[in-house]
Amino acid sequence: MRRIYRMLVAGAMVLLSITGKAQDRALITSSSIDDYLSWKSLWLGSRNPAAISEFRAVSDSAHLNEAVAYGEYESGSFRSPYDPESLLKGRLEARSIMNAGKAVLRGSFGYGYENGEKSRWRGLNNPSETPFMLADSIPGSISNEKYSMMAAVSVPMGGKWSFGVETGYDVSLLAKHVDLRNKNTRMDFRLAPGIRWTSGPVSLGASLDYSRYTEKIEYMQVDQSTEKYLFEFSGAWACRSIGFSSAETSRMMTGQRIGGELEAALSFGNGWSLYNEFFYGYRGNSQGETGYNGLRHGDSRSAVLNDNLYLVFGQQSRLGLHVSDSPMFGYRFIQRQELDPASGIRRYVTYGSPVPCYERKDMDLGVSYELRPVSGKWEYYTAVNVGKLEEKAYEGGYGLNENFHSYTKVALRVKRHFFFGENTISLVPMAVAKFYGPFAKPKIYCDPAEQSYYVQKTGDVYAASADAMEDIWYDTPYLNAGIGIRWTRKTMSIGADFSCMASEEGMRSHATLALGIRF
Amino acid sequence: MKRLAYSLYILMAMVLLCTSCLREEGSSVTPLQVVLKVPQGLDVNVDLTKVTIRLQSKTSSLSYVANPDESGEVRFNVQPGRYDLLASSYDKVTRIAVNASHPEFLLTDKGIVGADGSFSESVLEVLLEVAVPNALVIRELYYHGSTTLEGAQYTKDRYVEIYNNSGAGGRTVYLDSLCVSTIYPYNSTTGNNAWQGADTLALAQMFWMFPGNGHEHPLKPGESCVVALTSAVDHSKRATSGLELNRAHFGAYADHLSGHEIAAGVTPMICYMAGQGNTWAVSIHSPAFIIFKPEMGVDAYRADAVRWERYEPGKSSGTKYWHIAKEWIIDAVECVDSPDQSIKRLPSSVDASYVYMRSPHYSGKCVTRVLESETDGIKVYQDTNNSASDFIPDSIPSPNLK
Repeated sequence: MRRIYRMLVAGAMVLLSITGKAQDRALITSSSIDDYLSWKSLWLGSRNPAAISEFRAVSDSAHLNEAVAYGEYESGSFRSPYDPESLLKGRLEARSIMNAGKAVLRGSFGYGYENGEKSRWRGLNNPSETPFMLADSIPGSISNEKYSMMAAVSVPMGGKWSFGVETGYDVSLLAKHVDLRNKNTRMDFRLAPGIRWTSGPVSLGASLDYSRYTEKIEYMQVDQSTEKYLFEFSGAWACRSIGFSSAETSRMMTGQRIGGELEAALSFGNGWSLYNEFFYGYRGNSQGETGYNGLRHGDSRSAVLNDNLYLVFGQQSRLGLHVSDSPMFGYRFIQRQELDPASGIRRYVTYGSPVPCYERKDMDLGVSYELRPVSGKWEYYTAVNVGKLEEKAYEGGYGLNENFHSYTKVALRVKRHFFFGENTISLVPMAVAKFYGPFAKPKIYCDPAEQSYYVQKTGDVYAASADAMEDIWYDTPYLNAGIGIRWTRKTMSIGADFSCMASEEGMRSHATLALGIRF
Repeated sequence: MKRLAYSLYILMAMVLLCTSCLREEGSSVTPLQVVLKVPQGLDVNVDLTKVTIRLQSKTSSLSYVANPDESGEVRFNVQPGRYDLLASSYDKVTRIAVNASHPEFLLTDKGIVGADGSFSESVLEVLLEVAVPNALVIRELYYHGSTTLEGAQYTKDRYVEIYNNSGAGGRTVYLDSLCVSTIYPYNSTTGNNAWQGADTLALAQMFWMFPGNGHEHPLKPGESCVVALTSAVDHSKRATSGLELNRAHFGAYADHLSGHEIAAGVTPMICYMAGQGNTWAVSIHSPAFIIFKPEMGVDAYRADAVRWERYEPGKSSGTKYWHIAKEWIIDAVECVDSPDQSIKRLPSSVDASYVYMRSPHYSGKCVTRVLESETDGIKVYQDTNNSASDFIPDSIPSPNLK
């Protein structure tokens, strides 16, 4: 009877299609500490560092420490244009959270190494961050070495207030090993202060999130026997190609993000509570020369809005509503070189207002439901998301390229824990299905030469092959199904998962092996 | 603590204010009015409505083409940016060509940016020039290079062919003391032309003179000569172009230039250079090639170094470049890598536009002049001082060797 009940519950969840951010993977190998803490209290999953004082309230232990080693492999033709055809990753992570007197400390350190094959168009660590990018089309192996560290402290101030601050520093060294070879060095510094006020059933929090990042991009060609071409992208794959010998081959990208999050929680008693976190942030990004000649390749401005509302009931269930919206605009500058009489050096001087050339609207709506019964044997998670991505690159009044993608995603994940004395084995079947979105409209083909009798093209205005690959990636329905398994004994756990994404246009499979130790 | 809380809330309000100004003030479209002017005293009738005006963007692969009204005016609505302007028309019946060009300019939402950084009204006035056909023209320029038989880049097989285009009944031209060179900057992709707006043109490091006493190297109508730019030798065993430049008429060769070669039977040109080097550096993607003759003669020209040798503007050291007057140019072809991201170096009086290759560098292709007519076996090639229409890019080299 109980089994029938569980099946009914699981089936109902699929039908209701309730979800949060639809996860594409089994996630059995994700951090057990983070998963444990965010389930114990939503505050511990927020951006607010003051909220880590919540650890004292939700944990019986004075500390939780964890070290995890991951190995991942993914391969297949169904992928984003930025992804390599196959990718091997290794990662070591250590995390800790502990009470220290009245304060609570949290920290992590990670090192990762990735090696991909047949990578193209990967001119930046995060290409979606800006429309402007220098990239090349020749497939080749790529490596990425990543370091990340984070430290946070929360200190209670009186009975109702707590103050926290978090700082993080990430470094990424991306390199392609086939001509044209880009070497990208990215550094990302983050600082986030926050406060939290608690009085009876009400808790309020506010935090700021500031980060500054730089990415230095340098291209080189080792084999000089043939001429290679670089592409200067300005969004939506609009570009112009330049022979490497005559191209600007290095760039410096600098950016800043500043945002704020407000959190509010209200407890109704009997395990019922409401929790909401609202984040609004601004990101400014600028690309110029690595030197000091004043050349500006383009700026982007974007906003990020996120709201997550949770209804927690029975201490076992969470119903979530998720909204995110992030518009982006790209601008070019009108510049010319002028002699600086003081230094005798020619520098680029900017005239007039920035010229808009790119717009993007990225929106996602989702609902999620997660159930973790007290019995501890079963866990359920399901989510439905709908979203759209709309972007346009243009020059003057003429579209160079436009894209419109829309999707509906449904995700289901079930965990079943089997207990054998000190041993626990967890099985995690999962599935994510992606369908056409409710906002779908046909692909818009832009040919400036057809938009006005007096516009002529003197070369390609966008990278058609990359654009077509991205269209396939965004618009093709797929089913991603997989299973994970984890064995836990005392402080040690070993997990593995395998999933396969199948679509009419191809497949992509993913496997992970993880070894974790708590101490 | 409350003060801290208020501070954080004020900061968050500032974040919200910041994000409210995601959109910049700038406009994506701005007007530009172009007015064509006919030179005073012109004794030919020019139909301005047939003049094609091309506004070429320097930041993208788009150009805007329009014809003016009878008064020579036309209005464009384009994105603010960097442009150059080319205007041309050619009447095949009367064989009258008119051209005009305006070097790169900045068009902003506030107007056109002047040399001193001030803004002026978005109106461009350009003066048309009537193209006078030359007897001597560049028939073919092979500058792109090819590859070795093993697949490596190869540039030693490049040449220029000079042709007597005066047609049947035309006059014989003597090559003696004529010079060939390229205009500085070497490449069109250079960020700026330091000498833009100057009354003279800078030569890219060196120029080469045809030898002779004035009557040694005649070129009859319909005849041409091939000048090997680096190695006047047989390249058929070295490169995929297979050019046998040991059969060239002239070779750019000087003993002190270790990168050059010459075969027996090829007449060496005379080298004059500024600065140092071991090879004539002709751009593989964008040379502005010229034939010229100093009006006072080469010896007198070189003797007046004070007047004709100059440092780059703003510099008082480095290479002193030889300069020439625009009027000395007999024929020229301006080649650019692509119409965008290129600067224009030659005045419209000698080349009102530019030609560019669609094939990749080292493709073994060249630019060759359009054949206009043939009378009594003597060919006449199109010469409207407008290389975009006078030359065919991506042509297979076909030099008329000895």
